[in-house]
Amino acid sequence: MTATGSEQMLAPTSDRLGRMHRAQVHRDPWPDFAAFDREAYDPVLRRAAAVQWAGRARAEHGSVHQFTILSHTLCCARVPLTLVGALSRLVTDEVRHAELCAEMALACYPEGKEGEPAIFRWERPVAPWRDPPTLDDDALMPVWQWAAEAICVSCCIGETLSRPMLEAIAVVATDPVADAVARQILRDEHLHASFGWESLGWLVARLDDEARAGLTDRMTRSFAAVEKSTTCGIPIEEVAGKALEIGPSEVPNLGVLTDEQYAMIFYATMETEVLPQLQALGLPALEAWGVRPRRV
Amino acid sequence: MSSAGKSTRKVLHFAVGGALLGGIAPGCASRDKDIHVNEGPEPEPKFAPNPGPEELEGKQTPPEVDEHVNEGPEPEPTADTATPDDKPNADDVNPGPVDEPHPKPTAKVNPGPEPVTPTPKTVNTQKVKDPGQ
Repeated sequence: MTATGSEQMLAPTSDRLGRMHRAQVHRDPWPDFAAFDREAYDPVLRRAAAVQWAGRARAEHGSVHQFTILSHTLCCARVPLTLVGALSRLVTDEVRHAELCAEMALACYPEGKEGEPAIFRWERPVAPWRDPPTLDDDALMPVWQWAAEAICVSCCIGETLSRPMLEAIAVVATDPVADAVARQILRDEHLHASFGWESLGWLVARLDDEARAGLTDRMTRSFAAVEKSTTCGIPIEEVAGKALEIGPSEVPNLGVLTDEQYAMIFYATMETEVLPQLQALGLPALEAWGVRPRRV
Repeated sequence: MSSAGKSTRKVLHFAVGGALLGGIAPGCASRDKDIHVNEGPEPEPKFAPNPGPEELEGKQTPPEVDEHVNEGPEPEPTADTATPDDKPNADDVNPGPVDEPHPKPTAKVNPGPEPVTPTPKTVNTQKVKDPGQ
């Protein structure tokens, strides 16, 4: 039987590499996945959770891919070491997150390895940006614009949204292993968003008017894309003026949110965190939001 | 958005105001100039809902991004690979011994700088003359 994608993610290489990996990447006590009590949960519930955790593992691995491209490009542009140093932390964090999510997915639904390997698929990552521009030491503006777009998409929007989503996942999870996984990842997400806001501020200060306009166009496109992928078809008009409380689930939950929870978290976070912080950097985020293509 | 502690676990509060209302109506992707192509897949938050395999069935595989594989700088043309226009003038080339069946030109075409020799990072290979001397 061919190993599933999640299993390939977790495959051993050599003992020494494994020790180096654990020393570098496993910063917190590792959750005891063997303690996950499969028999306590309905297989349908476990399968649904495995779909989410395996997808999260792919997304986290995608972040490793994105942050290494960003790191490579900024390194070639010879930005100060504090920037690439802070970014390096994100790379190892994302490796750990991918590993945690893949382990959780396999713990939830081990019978799926044989019966439904597509749940644990692992596609080749593709960054949600243009390729980085060719570097020209005498004209770095295209690099600053590209890096600003990448950081805006992956960190300022992506990581800022991930934090409350993970917080909610940790709150609703009734299983101790799922809770431990979500909380361990959550501890890093705030740092990742902070990196995004700090580094975007550094880059925006270097952009000329044309590059700022390009960044604004990119924001508009990203707003539309994350709205479509996150709100489960619930438009802003349906939730504006409403509030939602998310607390510990009354029924068994392995770290899965409802459509309404996703939509409320998304719109509330965009309204109170993402758009105001982009505006504070001098970017016309509210205007960009207003003209985004609606495809919900 | 705020959170308040319960006995052991948090309860999160999410409220949506009216700042996000307005804009173009759902279903109207009217800003054609904002729809870019070949810019990679659309971004989505890492913890967005994931479709299961059954939801993917029947879905057309998204088109491959027009990826450009970075294969490093274009190689300088060598005498062996140079196009006819690039090839050195026969007058400039030492043809070598006449009886050699396929004489190779000795003159390099655009050799560029000497290749950098990989060196351990801890070795200082370039001694800089003390400007005070």
